[in-house]
Amino acid sequence: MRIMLFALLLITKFSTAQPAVVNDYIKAHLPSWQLCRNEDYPASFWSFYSRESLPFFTAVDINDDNRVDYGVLIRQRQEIRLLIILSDHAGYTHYLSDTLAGTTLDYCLLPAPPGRIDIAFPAISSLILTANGINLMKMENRMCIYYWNGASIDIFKTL
Amino acid sequence: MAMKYLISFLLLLTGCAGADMNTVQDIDGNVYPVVRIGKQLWMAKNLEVTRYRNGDSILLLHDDIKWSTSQEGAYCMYQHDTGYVRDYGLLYNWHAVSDSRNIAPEGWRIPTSEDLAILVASLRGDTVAGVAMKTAAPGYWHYPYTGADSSSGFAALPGGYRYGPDGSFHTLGSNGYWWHNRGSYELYAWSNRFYSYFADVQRDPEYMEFGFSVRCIKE
Repeated sequence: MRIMLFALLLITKFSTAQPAVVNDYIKAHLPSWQLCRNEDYPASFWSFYSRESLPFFTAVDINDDNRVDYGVLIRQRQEIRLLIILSDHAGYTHYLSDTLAGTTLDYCLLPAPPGRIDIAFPAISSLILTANGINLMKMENRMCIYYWNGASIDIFKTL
Repeated sequence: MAMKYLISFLLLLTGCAGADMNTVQDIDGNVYPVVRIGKQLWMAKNLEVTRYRNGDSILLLHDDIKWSTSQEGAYCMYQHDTGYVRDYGLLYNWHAVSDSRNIAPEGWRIPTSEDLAILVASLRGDTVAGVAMKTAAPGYWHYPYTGADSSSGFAALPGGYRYGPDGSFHTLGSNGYWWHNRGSYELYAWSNRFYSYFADVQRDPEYMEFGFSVRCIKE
């Protein structure tokens, strides 16, 4: 009974924290892929993040069209990718990243607010982010920022 | 008889206090609700005045190049759409906010960073102040508008900003930006936090050409 109750609480939290459109979209358009889950993360990951968070999910208006978009980590067997579900007046489209390095799920998605990001290594480079982007973190380290370049999703590498 | 005078006096007192405390009017005649948060009195709506306190007009700049190069005080509406003004107010550059002719109504001023520290402390600190500051009214903050409850009455809306270098508009519905006396403070749809990191005009004068919303505080 306790296990059932706990499972119900988890399901409730899950469903309120993340809109149904995410699951529906994956089922309809990428049926062989599965949304990552908190249970998929190694214990060491939770040294850096709260277990109350959903590290595989974020919601920002990445293309600045006044409609919220969703970033999620999805997996197919050992392969992990970032899926960005873009909303527009007609419905939804998506951007699918290349396969992320490694087979262990230790990635996290965080919103990246507008600002200037300067990188000194491996080469000096800057990104001026005018809209919200998505940080891809590996454990506590930021690997890159996914952002809208005015026409499509682009990547700014930070590690 | 004495009781009658006492009641009349109390009613008069209450009425006067209500008139003063509940609204403030700018030189254009726009009326703003006023909210008490801790010991401070704040406008509960973004500024939409088009003249300085002395009656001089603030420059309305639609043109992107003129906006990005103006050294004069200027304002605009998000994406030049007057339909946004009623809810979100106007966006002003730093020159307008810091002009000695004063953009704030008589008896009011642009908040200092110290004012904001007091505000945030009275709202249980910067990690959760956004909850109380943001309006919970539907249709403004994008999902997930993490737990906004309107409890402070500040009723912050995500009015976006105008980017200084090219005059473009960004983040309506997601982010709100307001001026304080040295830079900006921000609220994001995806966070409960109160932020004040985006623009610092002393560190980087480039931000003087950015367009942000304005909330005034009672002197």
